[in-house]
Amino acid sequence: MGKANNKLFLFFCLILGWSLPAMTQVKVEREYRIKQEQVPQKAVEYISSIFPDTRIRWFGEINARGYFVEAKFRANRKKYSIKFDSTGVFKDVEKVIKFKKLSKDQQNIFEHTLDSLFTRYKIVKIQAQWLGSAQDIRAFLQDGTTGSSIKKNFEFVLRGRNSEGIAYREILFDEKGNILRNVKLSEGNTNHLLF
Amino acid sequence: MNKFPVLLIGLCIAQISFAQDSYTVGTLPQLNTSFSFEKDWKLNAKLESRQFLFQGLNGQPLKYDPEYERADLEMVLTRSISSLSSAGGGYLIRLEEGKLIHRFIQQLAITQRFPSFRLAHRFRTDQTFESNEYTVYRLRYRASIERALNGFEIDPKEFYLKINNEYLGWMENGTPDLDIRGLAVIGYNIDDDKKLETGIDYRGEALFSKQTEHLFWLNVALHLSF
Repeated sequence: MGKANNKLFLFFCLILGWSLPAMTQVKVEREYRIKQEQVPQKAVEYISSIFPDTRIRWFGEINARGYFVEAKFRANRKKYSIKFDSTGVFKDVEKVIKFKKLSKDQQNIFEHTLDSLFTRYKIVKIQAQWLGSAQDIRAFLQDGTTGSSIKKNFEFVLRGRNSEGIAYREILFDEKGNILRNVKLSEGNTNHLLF
Repeated sequence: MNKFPVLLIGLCIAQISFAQDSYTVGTLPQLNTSFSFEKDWKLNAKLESRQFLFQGLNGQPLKYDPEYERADLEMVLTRSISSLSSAGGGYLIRLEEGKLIHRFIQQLAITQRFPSFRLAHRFRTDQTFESNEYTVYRLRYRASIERALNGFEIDPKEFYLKINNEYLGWMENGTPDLDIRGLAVIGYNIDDDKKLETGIDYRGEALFSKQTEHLFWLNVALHLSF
């Protein structure tokens, strides 16, 4: 009977572990500057073919999903970030945007969702994120052509207050305002700032 | 945001330019340890000392005049109000010229995150007691900015820049005055619980008086968290 209770306990722990809402996850990510020589040639060539005269800063990123390389740069007065996996295969492109640049319908959808999640919130940053085939994304970045494979998401970084308290969170929405990911950002040690 | 630190630095420089005051250069080593307990309580203990190396008056060359000035032991107990703010109080004991000085501290702190840096606000009041001296009451505000020098987040084994700016309004025997402090250090994040910093700490003391003191310290600090 004792062993059965232990197994049942473990079973419920596993179920709870799977069913815990994304709000309790903490984002753990490490990002650091790397030299172009450390970047897969495929990624370097991809960027060069679209933005040949742009100064690119390369970063390595390690998170729960693995190792990625990211090209960060400014083009047409906008900040871009293009992510590749460790072999240089394209993953996504992100661009910082302002909330007021979203369509009215999108603003309403996001405001409605955020109002349901938080009693108060302040948006720190929004990034539009495009995923799709490398070819479709290349065409999109070069002349705005929206290929059939392209999907658009929105990543919000905000400070929000809810029943759990105040915290910085990163929330990924799809174009329709559905939440794809909602993680709490780790604050890190602040003792050296406060004492 | 970009205009704010420029304005603050300008205020400090303007004060230096027009005062006819005393100048001191020395070293300021610090050991800062923090202990976390249950229910969001944290005890911070800081050991700090100051040594003069050069001293002089405005218009005269600085003289090499080494002197051990003082040692401070500060203990502050805080509790998190949220993941971004905390409040608490503490006590400092100072040994200076053979005398013991006592200070009681009250603190409120808030941190903010921006896309490429963190900003911490620290509000303090303190009361300093010394035998045969008037009690000094102070109201302080400090802004601390921390920015990664590699990437957008400060990861283990990476360097960062930290800039502090603090305003201390104080009153002694009914006479008010103002101190301004600035700090610029390069830090090395050994890991999230160990940081080593070094840089320049400037303190302008008694800015409204006829003889303001300008102190420049080489700051070396080790921050440990347990």
